[in-house]
Amino acid sequence: MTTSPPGGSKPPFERKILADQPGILGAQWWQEGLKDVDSEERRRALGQLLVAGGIVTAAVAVPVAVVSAMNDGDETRRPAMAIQQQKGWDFGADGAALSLPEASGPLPPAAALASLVADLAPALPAHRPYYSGALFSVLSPVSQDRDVVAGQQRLATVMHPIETASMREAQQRGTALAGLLTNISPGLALIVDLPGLDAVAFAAGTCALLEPVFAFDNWPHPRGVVPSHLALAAVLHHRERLMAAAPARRGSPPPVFVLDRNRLAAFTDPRAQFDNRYLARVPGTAGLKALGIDTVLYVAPGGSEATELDDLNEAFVAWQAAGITVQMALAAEFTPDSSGTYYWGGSSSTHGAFHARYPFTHGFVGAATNPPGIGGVAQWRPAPRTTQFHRSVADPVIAGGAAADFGTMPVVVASSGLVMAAAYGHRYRSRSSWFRFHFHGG
Amino acid sequence: MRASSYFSMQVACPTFDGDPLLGSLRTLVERATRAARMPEKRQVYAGIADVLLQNLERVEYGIWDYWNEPGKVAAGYQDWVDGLEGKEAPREAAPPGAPAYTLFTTALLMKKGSNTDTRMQAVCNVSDGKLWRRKTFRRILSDGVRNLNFAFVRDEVIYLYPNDPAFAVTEGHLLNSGHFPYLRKVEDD
Repeated sequence: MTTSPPGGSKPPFERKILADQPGILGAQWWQEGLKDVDSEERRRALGQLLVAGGIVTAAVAVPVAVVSAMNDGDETRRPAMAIQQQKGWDFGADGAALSLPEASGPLPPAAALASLVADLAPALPAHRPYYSGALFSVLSPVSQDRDVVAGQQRLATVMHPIETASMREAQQRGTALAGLLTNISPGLALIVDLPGLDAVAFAAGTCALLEPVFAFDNWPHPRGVVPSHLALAAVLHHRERLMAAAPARRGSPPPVFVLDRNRLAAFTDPRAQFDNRYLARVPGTAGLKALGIDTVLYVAPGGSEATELDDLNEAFVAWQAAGITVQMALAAEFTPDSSGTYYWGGSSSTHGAFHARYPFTHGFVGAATNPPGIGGVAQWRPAPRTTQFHRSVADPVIAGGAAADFGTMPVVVASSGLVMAAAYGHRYRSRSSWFRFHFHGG
Repeated sequence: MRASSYFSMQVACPTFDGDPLLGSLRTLVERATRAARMPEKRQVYAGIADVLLQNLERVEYGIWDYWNEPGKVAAGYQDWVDGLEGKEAPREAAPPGAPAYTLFTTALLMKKGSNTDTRMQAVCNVSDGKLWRRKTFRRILSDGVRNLNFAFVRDEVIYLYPNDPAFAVTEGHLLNSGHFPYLRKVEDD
């Protein structure tokens, strides 16, 4: 194809940026005419791409609208986990490594890792739509792709079970709360929204009575915004306990939806961070009612974190409007007595007062004294507020919309839709001639 | 980004108040900030090439590059665009007696396979041992930059800094600030 310089009175170049400051003088220009030249090529490429579109979308779960906008060597954005599933969990890590606390034991055998997603799935079919074991699949053979397999082998060399002091504390807090729920009606659901590793441990503390429904919907990454490898390592520690509890639970145990509170962690440096953030997966109003749930107890950490995260606000407000009771409890209000046993209010004499604050627990208050300074959060009720997230309350499974870039990363893709290169973090590397010098024998 | 290639060049040389080189470059880059038509652009770039060729012995540090691999073009070109946003602009005056450096930068995003691209690709086809020789810069400026065909330039960025003596770049800033780790010492022929 040939073209001649665009003519006419309109200049072919348009200025995008003008810098005229003491520090710098310059401009950036672009030529709109070349965009038109390319449109025919673009249409041809698009026609070829659509032939293979089904394969592309099936392989990486990218909407056709996104794929069809690609062109040879295009820079575009892809869901972070889709990139990792195609190119390996640590794609673009650029030498960064995971940081894990000391191991609490050996990594389970490969067969156990391969079945982790299934092993930790809820036993009750009604709970399964809200389960996401995506995080647990990072150590499973999800692909035969060489990059992915090699990545999993690298991960297996650094991943191990952990049990931190905060996990031990969280587990005992979970056990203490579960002890207060022995007389609950079947209409209760818990949402545990703590930092990933503590959320796992808290759920492990409740798992004899309630059914954990994990909603860990990402993969870890060495530069990840969400340190989900910690939640994975905690799951590896509690795996056997969680699996053993399932068949021992009686009847239809209430669900405890387990969320990683770091899922919305601050994404502050697009040049260095991998945006593996994700939204909470909780039932919509219809979904909750279908489960027979009329009361939701939301467990937040406490202290300065005594509110629901932004991605839950619309759901909570909608549930409440539909007549579902939504209350909050704070994990930090379960503290040890002198013997090290955890109680609400830190004493066996205050523990029963929990029932007075949370009447749906139907427990015996007796002579329990209301502990000073805690329990006030029981009066909290969700109130609508403006957030960056919009949640479709009609959706019975997931909810949630976010900014278009949320949980995505820029990549360079070929016309086939395959990811060719990470397009983030390049500003941390030296300039291109430096690449040439080092990588091309300069 | 559609099938593209990019060429970039940055050169640094010590300048002084009233330096004709600095005055010429400032005039040409100021014209470049207003040049929206191809003949104007060609004249400006030819003028810049001439000024730099006349003063090439004064150029102490530089970098140039050409890439047409899809995985490198977008990121590489964006690096130079980011430079225009002032992220690397110096903010301090040079200490008394210390030479102040002026940096001229240009980067061009070209239609891959066009005659503009193939010319620059040919000009930049330099053996590894000669990448940073002064005569290599001379060849690129005289055969490439001086004869650019802007018909196939999709995007162009050009800048000069500092634009004021109060924002001087010292050699220490060049070498130690971490902003210019890619700059190479230009080797005499």
